[in-house]
Amino acid sequence: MAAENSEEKEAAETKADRAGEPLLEVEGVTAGYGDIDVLFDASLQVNQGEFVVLIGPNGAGKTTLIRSIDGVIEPKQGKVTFAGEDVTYETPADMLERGISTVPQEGNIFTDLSVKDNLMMGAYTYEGRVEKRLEMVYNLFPILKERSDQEAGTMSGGQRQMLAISRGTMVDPDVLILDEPTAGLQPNLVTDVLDAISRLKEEENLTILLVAQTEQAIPMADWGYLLRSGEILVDDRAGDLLDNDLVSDLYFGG
Amino acid sequence: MLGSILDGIILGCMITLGGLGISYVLLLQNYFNFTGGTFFTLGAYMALAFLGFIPMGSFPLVTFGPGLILALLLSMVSMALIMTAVDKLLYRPLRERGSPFMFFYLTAFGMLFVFRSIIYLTWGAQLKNYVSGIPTYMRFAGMSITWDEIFVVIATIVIVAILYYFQYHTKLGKGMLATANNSELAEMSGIKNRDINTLTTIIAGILTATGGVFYGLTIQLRPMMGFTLLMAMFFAVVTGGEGAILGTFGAGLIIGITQEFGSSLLQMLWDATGVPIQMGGYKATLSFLLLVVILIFQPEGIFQGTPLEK
Repeated sequence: MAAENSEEKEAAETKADRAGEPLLEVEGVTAGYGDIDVLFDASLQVNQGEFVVLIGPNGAGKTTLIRSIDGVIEPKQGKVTFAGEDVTYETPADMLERGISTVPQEGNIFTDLSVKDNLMMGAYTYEGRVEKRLEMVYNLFPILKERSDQEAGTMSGGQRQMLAISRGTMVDPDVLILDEPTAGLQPNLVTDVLDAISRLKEEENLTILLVAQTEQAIPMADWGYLLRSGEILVDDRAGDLLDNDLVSDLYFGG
Repeated sequence: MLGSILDGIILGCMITLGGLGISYVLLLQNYFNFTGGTFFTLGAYMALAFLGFIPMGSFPLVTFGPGLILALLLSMVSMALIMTAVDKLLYRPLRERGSPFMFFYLTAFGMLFVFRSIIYLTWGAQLKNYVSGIPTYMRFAGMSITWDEIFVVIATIVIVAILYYFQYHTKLGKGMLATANNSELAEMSGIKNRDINTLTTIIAGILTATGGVFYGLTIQLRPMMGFTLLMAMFFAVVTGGEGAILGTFGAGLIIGITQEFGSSLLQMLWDATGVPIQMGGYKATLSFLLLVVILIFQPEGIFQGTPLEK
């Protein structure tokens, strides 16, 4: 499947067409907290097998958009569909059952549990052989194997992110949503984490929606969105994103 | 004198069971269930009600028969149902609205009076017993203990062991810990908060009913039995560490022994000096004093962070 997808993708890229069938679609979502809206009429699409990056400055509403997708908050308007079905008001547990796993930006590990128990909790609803998943994750991040008995809350920032990504992957999802997995990490760790996400995507045949502040994530992606002040301003092929004026304003000042 | 240590251990077992019920609710639902003591009493009376229909039968050595075991099981089921109903009707709406913790405390206090009234109305204020037989004693080292009490101690150890295994060695038990630690992430991992809350209430119901029935068996049934132990349960929960099974057991035993041994020690002192105080009415005060002392010198609890916790 992975090979087939990437071949398709390569073919599609040359045609300047978007790869894959639409899988996760957000249409005109308005969301916020209490009376305050932070997201206005946002639309986004993630196709089967794609790597989509959502960038934007602090406070743009990126996390709110992710939370509206995975069911932590309910959108006030708009619709979220997955594989053609309306999933707007489903809970995070329902979304997981459908194959969408989210790694939130904050509180993304069980700090009181051991590293291994964190991973086991990630596989809570996984029906296959959990040992295989553990092996896959340990291969990707050998440090987690070394520290499997350590209390997760005592790990460093980088290790926490690795654990958080691994927890989200244990269940063998179809779509992995990652909310700023590189936030607050030192530059070499940012590269490590992004590389690991790329590897995961290939090895696990994942569809990825990555929220990032770092421009380093853009070249890895197929498609990109720029969210600013709660509105999607750019919706373009990731390769063209860095040439976009709005995007370069964001990273290099305008 | 030494016998009072044994009495303390037996009382400690019941405090542990009632305390664990409260501890689970505190761990997963984040409020101290003041109704816990009254549910403890209700559990004991539910078993009495069932014994009205179930023949007691007999076991060797102990005063009770299979009827009490069946009544205990039915009481567990009833308490699990009653506590789940209360949780769904009153606490769940508060949880889902994200109400301030004070609402939970007020609700728990309200429920305490509601259920206490129900107990008084249904069974009256007089003391009751499950069995009228005279218990047989086992004597050793100058102390004596009834076989009923030995049963209670062994059964408590078995229950604590089962609970411990469930908590730390099963997927569901760890799912509860995960929910206690980070409920939002647990939900994202497919561990449904609602299911875990229901499970928590059921476990609390089972433990509470068991503690109540054991108290009724070894002491007697009275409408305020659980309430008088509430302070001791509070002690066990706070110093044992919320959700720490062995910690709560250890703290339960400490407070049970302190109450029984401490009060008989002080009684000897008062008797010798002619101070007219009957310590029987001041046992809960000892719990409170010990709690204050521990919170001053060891505010993180006595067992938190030690290997006993896990």
